[in-house]
Amino acid sequence: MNRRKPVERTITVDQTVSMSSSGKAFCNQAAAAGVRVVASLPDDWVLPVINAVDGDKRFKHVRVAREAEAVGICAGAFFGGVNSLAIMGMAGVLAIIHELATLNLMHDIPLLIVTSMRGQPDEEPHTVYQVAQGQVGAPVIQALGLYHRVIDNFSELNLPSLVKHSRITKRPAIVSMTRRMTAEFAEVS
Amino acid sequence: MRAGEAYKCLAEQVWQDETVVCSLGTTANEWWRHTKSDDCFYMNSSMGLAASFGLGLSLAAPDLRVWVLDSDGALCMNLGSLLTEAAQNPPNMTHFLLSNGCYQAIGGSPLVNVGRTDWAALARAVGIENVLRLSSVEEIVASSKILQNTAGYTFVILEVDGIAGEKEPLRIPFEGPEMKYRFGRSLQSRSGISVFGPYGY
Repeated sequence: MNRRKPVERTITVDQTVSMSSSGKAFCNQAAAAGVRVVASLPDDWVLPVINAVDGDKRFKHVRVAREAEAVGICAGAFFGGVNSLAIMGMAGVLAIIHELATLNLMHDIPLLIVTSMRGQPDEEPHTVYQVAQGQVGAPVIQALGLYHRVIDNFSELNLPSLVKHSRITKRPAIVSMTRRMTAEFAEVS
Repeated sequence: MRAGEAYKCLAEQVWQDETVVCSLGTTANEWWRHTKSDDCFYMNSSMGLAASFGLGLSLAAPDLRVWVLDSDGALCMNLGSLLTEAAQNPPNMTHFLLSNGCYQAIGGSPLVNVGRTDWAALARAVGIENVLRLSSVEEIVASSKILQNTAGYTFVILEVDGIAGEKEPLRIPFEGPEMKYRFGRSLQSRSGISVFGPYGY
């Protein structure tokens, strides 16, 4: 009886992959912004960004089990005297509304969130689930009164400016990356 | 042991210079009652997030010794934070879990799965090595050295009686931005951490 050789599986991301030039540039911007702590929970779009951060020793990277943890970790890091960054999918942003309202907005605590801008007409895969996120994501962020910027290519990204804006306004700021933008991070130089 | 007795003992006989992050309700009210401390973030909101806040503070400021005063009701809302703590294993953090099996601040409504949840077993199961279970003031005092963060990251269950209709809690007379600036200024003056920049933000 022919038996197929078991396929070797790994449940960890290969940390040895070369970082894309966008990934390196993202990390350089984050470091220049004084970011020292990064808390993340991936979707497939922001995963390359997270991998870039994870491979950079300038950051203490904390993988969380639920996006709300990232809100708490970043608030604690603020009082520890460092800037921080939360990276998550747009579904995660929708899951942390209560924490943004009752921790950050209530206490004037800054936070920069990098997320995916789902639900656009030209993205692939173009699925009903992602469209649903995209339809409600931006209006919900707007309803909270948060600064929200959608960026489509790396030249539009300025993390030091966004971190400073969040600190000056004393409230979270959210930058959403389109599929074209996140794809840049997956291109290894 | 009642919650107030546990926190009175911690405040008066064990607490040194640890920076404290308090979960909401009974925990925050009792810590304020016994310390009136500015060197504490009383998280009267975002139920469950005190542990994550404390972890972020511990990682950003490794020279601080951080106490998280948490409650079982709050941890139920952020159970995954135990996995994150286990993975980070912050050597300068002690996570206290006040376990009374109920939502005491709203009159003692029972917690989900009360009487069956084994918090110590749960902590060990996610890989936390230092786990203590204390059920009397005497046990707290006897464990002082460990609680003062001499053994690295430690998860401490304070087993207390669930009390329905306890006396009127002592409310903390400040909130929101004042909480931020009291806590931040305290950290700056006591620990030299630059929380706010030269323009105050």
